[in-house]
Amino acid sequence: MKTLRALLALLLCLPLWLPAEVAVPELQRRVTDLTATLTVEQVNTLENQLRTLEQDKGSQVAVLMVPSTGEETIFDYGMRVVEHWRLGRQGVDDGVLLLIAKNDRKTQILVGRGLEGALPDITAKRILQDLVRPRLRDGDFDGGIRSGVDAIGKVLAGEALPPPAKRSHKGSSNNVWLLLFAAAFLAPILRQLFGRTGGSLVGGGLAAGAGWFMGGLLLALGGFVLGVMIMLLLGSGRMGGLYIGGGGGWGGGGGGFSGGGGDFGGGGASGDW
Amino acid sequence: MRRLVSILLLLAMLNLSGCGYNTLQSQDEQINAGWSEVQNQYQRRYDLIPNLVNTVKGYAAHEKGVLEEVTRARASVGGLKVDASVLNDEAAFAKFQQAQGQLSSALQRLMVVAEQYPNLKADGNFRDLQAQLEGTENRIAVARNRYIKAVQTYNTTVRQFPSNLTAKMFDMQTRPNFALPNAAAEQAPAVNFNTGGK
Repeated sequence: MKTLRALLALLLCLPLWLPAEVAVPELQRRVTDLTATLTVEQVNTLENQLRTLEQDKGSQVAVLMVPSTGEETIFDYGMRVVEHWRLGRQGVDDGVLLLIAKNDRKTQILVGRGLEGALPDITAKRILQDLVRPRLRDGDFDGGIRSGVDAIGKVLAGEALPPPAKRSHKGSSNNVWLLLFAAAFLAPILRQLFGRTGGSLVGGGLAAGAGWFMGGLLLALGGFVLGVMIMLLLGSGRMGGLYIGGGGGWGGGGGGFSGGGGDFGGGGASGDW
Repeated sequence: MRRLVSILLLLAMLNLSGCGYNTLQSQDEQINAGWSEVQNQYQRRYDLIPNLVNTVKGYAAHEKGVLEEVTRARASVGGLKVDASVLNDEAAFAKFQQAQGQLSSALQRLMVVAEQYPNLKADGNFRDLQAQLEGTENRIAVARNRYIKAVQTYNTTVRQFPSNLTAKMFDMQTRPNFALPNAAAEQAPAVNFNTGGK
């Protein structure tokens, strides 16, 4: 009986709030459809279009369709999304989000700070009401989203933006592991040849060279440092424990889509259908 | 060895304190930057209004009451002191908030009135101004939220130990913050301009 009362007391102390906010989904793809309205082909077509846009112009445009934004306005929800996703390049702030709340029948375009000149509120409003809205009214979600994305793409095409950076492969963690294993195997050999310090430096140099070849300066520098460290650690004869602490940190999960750190000031427009 | 320990202790102390002086400075700058942004967006709204009033007048000239209210509210906003000194003066800050709040209410009433004029609603110019006003109100909301956060961070640093000692030394005080909007008194025009049917 006592335990039961204690348990009850404990339960009463637990915060009984009901979360009123709809959760912001994690950013994994350019097109996120949480309502399962679009088919896989439709999503892929859109994704390709948006990927090409990013490759050509550097801007990150994303689409999100949710069932509802709950008690928040679609603007407030959208701001939470973009502040989490950080679409667009840092400093350039050239991200755009097309957000649709299917059950609420509301649409929203959010424009990054850097694009507020190219895609002002009036243009965003016109896109939503004149292009997207009629198609959504007919139930053609794919058509509606595509017309919106096409229009946004046209606007961006005319805008002079900083050229997109070359996508280096520093995101791939595989390269780092490769370097580390190579370093581990070569360590005793190099130590024989060049002595402890010399071996470390040569090993580091090799790792740096491999890093440069695979992914540019950053990987080269990292490779050098790790290579030297490993040489020094293993060169004394211990073949055990690879100190891989630092290695895991860089692999950013290559291949996925992530935001570039862009900022949003609240520009854009909302619509409905 | 002892020397090393005492040097390390000294470094640790200096590190802990840096006394928050630099933190206070950077947070203070954040507030100024946030305030500039808020000002920019309020200014943007201020600039939109004459056009809006004229467009509405073109279709609803006899709605004199609400049109004059908007013009008056805008004029009183125009007469406000808005440089960064407002941030250190509670009274001036409150006055600023109140004036902007009155302008928001007047605008909201104007848009409600405009809803009753289908010709006005269909006017391309008016639709554009509506879109701009909506966007501006959204930007004001975002700027205010960021300002509020910046002030909260700064005020916390000013009040927490040990940075409060540094703050006292340099006479840095907590800054006034926007009051959370009272639902009745200050509601930015959260008007849905899209009433489904046309």
